Amino acid sequence: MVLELQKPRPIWQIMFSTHHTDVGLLYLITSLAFMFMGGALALLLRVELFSPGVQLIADSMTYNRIFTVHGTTLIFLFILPSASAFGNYLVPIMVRYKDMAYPKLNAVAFWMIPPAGALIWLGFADFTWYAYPTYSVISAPGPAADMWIFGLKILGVSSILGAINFVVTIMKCKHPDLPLSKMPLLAWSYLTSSLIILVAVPTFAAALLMLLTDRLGASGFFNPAMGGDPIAYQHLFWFTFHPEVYILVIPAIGFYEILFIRHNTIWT
Amino acid sequence: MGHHSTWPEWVYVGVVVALMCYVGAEAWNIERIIEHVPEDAELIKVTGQQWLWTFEHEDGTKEIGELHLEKGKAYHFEIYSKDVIHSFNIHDYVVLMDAVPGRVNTVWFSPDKAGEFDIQCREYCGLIHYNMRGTLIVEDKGA
Repeated sequence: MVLELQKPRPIWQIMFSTHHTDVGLLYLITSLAFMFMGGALALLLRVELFSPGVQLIADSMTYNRIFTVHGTTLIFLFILPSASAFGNYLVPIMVRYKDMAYPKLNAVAFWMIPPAGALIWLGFADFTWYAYPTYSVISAPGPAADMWIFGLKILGVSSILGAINFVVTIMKCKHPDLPLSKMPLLAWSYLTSSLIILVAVPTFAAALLMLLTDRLGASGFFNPAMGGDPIAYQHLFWFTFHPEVYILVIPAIGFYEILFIRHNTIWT
Repeated sequence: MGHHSTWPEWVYVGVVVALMCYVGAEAWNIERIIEHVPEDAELIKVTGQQWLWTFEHEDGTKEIGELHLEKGKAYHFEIYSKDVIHSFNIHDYVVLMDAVPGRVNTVWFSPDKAGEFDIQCREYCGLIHYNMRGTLIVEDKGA
């Protein structure tokens, strides 16, 4: 294999590119930035908890907002985009195709993340990363809570678009000489986790809409005062987030195979 | 491929299946035992609201923030919420049950040590969630 050295390109060429390696790089940079931002909030929390009494954060609402945005950032703005980063970079190469199946859709899915992150960070909601009603419906202060709901909504659409792209790339654009049985386990893991996203995430997207209309008072799905049931939200939420664990861990298992079994030069 | 012996794999699968069956049956049995409420258990209504606990005994006495129980007796709690979801937790006695508006949840326990124990809210419920506490006071009437 010949290694082609490219001349350095201006940053805007990478930003407005739809090529899978560029989009993968953008995903990686964004997820790393959010990792440090979420980590900084974790540091604030641990400094506050260093000893009993008040260290840094005298106001309990500020503390509640910090742990909410910390959790939301690390789960939705770091782990998920970092999986997409490596998938975008490696999956087309592993199935021997020139790009993702839908390059523009790929760029769209990425560019939904920064505005969603901005909504979550500018709002700074306080209702924890799972936003259970009835607190999130009748008690959580807006507009922070509403901005969080819109941010998560955008991230959900972004994951679904990304998952569609991975499934089509692997199932339809794979090289005809490469049977599924010979495809690297990493590509298999992205196929599996993308299929799980397609089944699991729309439920949470629906629950978020129901939460929003409940907050507006237009509906009472989760509000017992209007005949609803808060436990219904917990079922919808965990229908998405129990599989989410596997969405996150299955690509990691794929990496394990690539790094320590397929390309093992350490223990042979 | 195809020529090596497969019995170690089947032994492994068998051991794992047997272990899982044992763990499942044991867990089911323990669950059955701890969910069985004694017949003479006294009923106490626990109500969570932002940000305090109210307790109502069978005889109608009400307590706020403090719960007086007797050592050795069994208590059956009905847990209500007036506003948002709370969670009724007595850490030292491993009592943990959500208080959900619109529902009644139940849990029971029997204190076997006299003394004072913390009651706390274990589900985020807003501004003063961190300080939504109460005290369980177990009195030894027999001594």
